[in-house]
Amino acid sequence: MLTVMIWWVGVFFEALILIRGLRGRTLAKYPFFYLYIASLFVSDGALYVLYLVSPTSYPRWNWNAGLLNILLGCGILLETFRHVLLPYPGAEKFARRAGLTVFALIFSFVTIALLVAPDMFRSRLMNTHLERNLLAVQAIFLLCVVVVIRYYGITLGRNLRGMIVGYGLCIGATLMAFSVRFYAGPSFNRIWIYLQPLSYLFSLWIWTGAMWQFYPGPLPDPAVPLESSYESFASATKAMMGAMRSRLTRSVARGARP
Amino acid sequence: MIQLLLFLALGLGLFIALYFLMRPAVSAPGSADELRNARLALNVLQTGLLSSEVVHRIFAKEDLEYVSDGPMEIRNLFVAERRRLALLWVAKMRLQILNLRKFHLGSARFHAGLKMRTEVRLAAEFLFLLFTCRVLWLALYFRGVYAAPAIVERATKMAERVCAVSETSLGFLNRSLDSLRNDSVRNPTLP
Repeated sequence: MLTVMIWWVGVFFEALILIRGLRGRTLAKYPFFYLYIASLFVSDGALYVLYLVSPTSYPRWNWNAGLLNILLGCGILLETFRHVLLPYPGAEKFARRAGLTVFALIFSFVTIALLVAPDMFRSRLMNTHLERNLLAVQAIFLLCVVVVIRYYGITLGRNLRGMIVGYGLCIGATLMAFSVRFYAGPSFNRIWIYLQPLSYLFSLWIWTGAMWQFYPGPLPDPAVPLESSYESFASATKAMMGAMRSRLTRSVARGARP
Repeated sequence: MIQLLLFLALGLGLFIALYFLMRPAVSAPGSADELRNARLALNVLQTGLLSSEVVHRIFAKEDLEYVSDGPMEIRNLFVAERRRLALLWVAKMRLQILNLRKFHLGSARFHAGLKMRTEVRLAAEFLFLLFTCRVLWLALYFRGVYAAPAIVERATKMAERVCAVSETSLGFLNRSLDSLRNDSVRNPTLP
């Protein structure tokens, strides 16, 4: 009964976010985010009907919908790149390269594992593996983006901060719960059926507050004339740091001697 | 088990990153005023706290020798005060490094030609410098300014070099300010 209630509260929040997106004109600003929410709304509603009509086919469709939603969740990363990082070409390049490097590493690892131990991918737990690994890739990508945003001191608007925090909490909690469930087995299911939907509800609550209306993000000041070449700019910083470091290192090393 | 720990660590890492994202960001310099402030901060450090005369005075042995002739209480008070000054000096040095990093990040984020390898190396070097400052601070805190004559000598020399380094950085900032001034002449609405 409680799980069904959580289910309907989730559908209610999803509908509310979509309605506010239409009324608050945020839908046109963040189309990928609303596509993700719309997909969640449709799949949750349809799955509930399916659960009542044909419970045997529910798990298969539930998995398909879950996979689709995980893929559409990448839309939030796209929105982050479009709205937060695009005005900062340097930071955007760094985040893109870091994310792609991590993705290439994971892809290479999976390819090698497929060649070395193909049986691992034929197990009945393959679906769970795939879902968890997709979440892990997204978590790593999101982690890279958040670190770059923070490191380069980029300020976020309320909409995007809420979008990222809500999604981050959702995939972080799901990933952790998935892993524990995978390790602990069916005994964890009693906790899983409440933990996963509740963490998702919490994310929906954050999104509802953050996306209630359009809050324009702070704009960078592009009028500042800086060194035209990154090479000379980075070299100047490196030269200064190199000099400072050598003095500091030597003084500490000598000072440490008795 | 290792898989479980890895995924749990990833989830936890994401939560920590989100926590820092929710905290108000200290925005890196980007506007003309902030550029001027960065230059002013370095200028103050160079001409004031980091000038070789000031640093030489803080670590001067002659002063210790002078007060050593007097009562022990005055000598102890003097040593304690000098240690406080030296610690303040290291703290200011650390601040200068932080300013430099802030300025670098504030500018680098706009450069489309940014090199990831260079940025990663610079990030590591900044971390190392800040760590070294911390070690120096601890050495002065626990061993005192006069307990380790070698550190005093090296610290004095280092301060002189840092001043020279600051000049380089000022020149680097000046180039940005010069182009800003030229733009202001061409377009009086600019700050």
